[in-house]
Amino acid sequence: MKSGNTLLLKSFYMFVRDGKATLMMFVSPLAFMLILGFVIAGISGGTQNVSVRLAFHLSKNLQPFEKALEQEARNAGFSAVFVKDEKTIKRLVSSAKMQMGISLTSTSMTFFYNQAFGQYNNYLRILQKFVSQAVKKRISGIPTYVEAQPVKINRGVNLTVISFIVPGAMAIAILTACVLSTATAFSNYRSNNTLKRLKVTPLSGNTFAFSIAVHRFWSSVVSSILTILAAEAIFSTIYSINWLLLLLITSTAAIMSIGLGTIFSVVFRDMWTTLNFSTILLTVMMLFSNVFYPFSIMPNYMRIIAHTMPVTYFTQGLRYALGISPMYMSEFLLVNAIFAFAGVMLVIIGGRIMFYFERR
Amino acid sequence: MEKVIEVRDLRKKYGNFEAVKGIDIDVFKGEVFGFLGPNGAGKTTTLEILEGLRKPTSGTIKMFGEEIKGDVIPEIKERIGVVLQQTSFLDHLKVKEILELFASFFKKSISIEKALEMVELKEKVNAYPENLSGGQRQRLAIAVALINDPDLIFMDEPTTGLDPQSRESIWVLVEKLKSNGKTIFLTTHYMEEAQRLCDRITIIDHGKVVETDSPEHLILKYGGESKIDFSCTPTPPTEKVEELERELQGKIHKLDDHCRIVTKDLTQTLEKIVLWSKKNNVSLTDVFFIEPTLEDVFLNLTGRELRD
Repeated sequence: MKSGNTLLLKSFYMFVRDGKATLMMFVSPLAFMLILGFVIAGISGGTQNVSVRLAFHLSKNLQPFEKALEQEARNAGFSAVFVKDEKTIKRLVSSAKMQMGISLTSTSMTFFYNQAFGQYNNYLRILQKFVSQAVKKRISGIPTYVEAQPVKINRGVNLTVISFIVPGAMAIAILTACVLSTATAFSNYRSNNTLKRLKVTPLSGNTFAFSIAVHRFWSSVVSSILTILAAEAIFSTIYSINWLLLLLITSTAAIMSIGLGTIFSVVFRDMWTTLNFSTILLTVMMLFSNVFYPFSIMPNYMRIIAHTMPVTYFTQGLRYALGISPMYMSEFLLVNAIFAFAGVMLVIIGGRIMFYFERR
Repeated sequence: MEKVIEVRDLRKKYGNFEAVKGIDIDVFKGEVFGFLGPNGAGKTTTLEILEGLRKPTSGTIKMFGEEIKGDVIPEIKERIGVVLQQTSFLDHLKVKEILELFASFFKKSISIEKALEMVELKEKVNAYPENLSGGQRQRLAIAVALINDPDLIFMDEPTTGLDPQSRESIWVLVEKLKSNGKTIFLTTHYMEEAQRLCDRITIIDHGKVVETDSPEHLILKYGGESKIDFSCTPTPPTEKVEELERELQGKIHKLDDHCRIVTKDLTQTLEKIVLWSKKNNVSLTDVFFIEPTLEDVFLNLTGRELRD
């Protein structure tokens, strides 16, 4: 206990006095987000009002409500087109002439969307709200299978690529900072014989590993909050932030990343090999995940790969916490539980093996 | 006498290469035990096995009467201090903070002030190790090793790479520790260091113990004869030198600008040389006595020099 507390305090000094480590933890996520943000904003021309066009097909018994729906759509700032069959809806949506299609009968409602269209989740929400309101206000006789859920989203909403990218950039930056900072710290301690020196004392590997990990953990959480606030201020991203969920996903993902960094430093004993491997892996994670593009536009093989990447779930969780992507709460909690458990286990195992390997 | 370390038939193999080939060591309480050998002799490997940094291939090790099986247990770690061959401290911590940190690892520790006083680093309490000289850093490493007031201190070549002044200060420190009753296990390839500091020395070569004894006994047994180097003015003719050779019953070696005679009895030989010089009206200049050293012991025991 005495050694744990002292080590925690001293490793805090070590962390805050280490310019490179603090820079990596605090500034790199912010810098990464800013650079990416300006690049994306430049490419996408900043924020823009998107005209949402919806194609409707109503079953015969619902056709009397066509005018009511059309009026409701106009009031909501969308344009509604009524077509004769579902086949036409599919054609219009696949040719990107319409963003979304709805086929409504008195017993079912079918949505059609183009998978290549990245922001469909937002449209689903808009659509859900619009249809729900229409049902509530104007349409009588339709059963209550259409569930009305309030979604905080503006009319004629600003849909920006940057809003989608920021969580991804943040995820990859936090992952990079935690993995690299932890891996380099431990590799460095090994190469300069510090681990050897500690091994001959009664200190346990776990205590040492956790003391180094703790400061990387809290700094990454603080850094992620700063990054989000900066993104909101600079790029006018419109997030509906659930701070509790945001803190949760950032914390557990940071723990998991630190665990990965610890294991990498143990497996690849040399610092440069650790760094090279970590960089390659992080690049692969960045490219083969939902960081920069949604699942909907990925080819099947890439979706499979993306689902094996922790950063995918981190990004997904972040987007959920920021209110821009749907996710089941149970799924969100499961992801967090796995991250936290895996992270803690990796640090424990890494800490033990780290000291064990010092006895050759 | 109480044995602090007892090693029997210790072996360490790296693949097909056997670095340590069945060595036996006994280290007694309160002595400075020297482990002398050239680079690659197996000194550090043996030391690191004792410190718990390497796994032995076979053999038994007892420390403070406890057999070490696997990792060194914390109870033993509480009683040992270690000075590694190359010590690096945790980055971005000041001298005082490093000592506080290491003190926290142990149940028992001495005060930071006392540790710094012992190694004469009190004025550097708030310095960062990277701003210390090589000698000061090594003294800090020793302070770290002493922070838990250990009964046994392992020192792996503590003066390698240091200037003569820093080396001297480390030697004084080791002598102080010895007078405080600490047991010290010291590896070195400096014969003068071993000769000055050690009560007993084990000479190791190619992973095998060659001999163990006190430095004096080793020199007496294996050091060979003393030498007298001298020069004469004017230079005597060859027949006069041959006369001296007959008188001394030994060969005089002509070196660059002086002569050398090897002798078992230094006093008697010197008397004979002085008498010869008077008789032949020759002035003796630059007379040197060369006593056998551990270097000679090593050479005689192994057939090669310590720094090979």
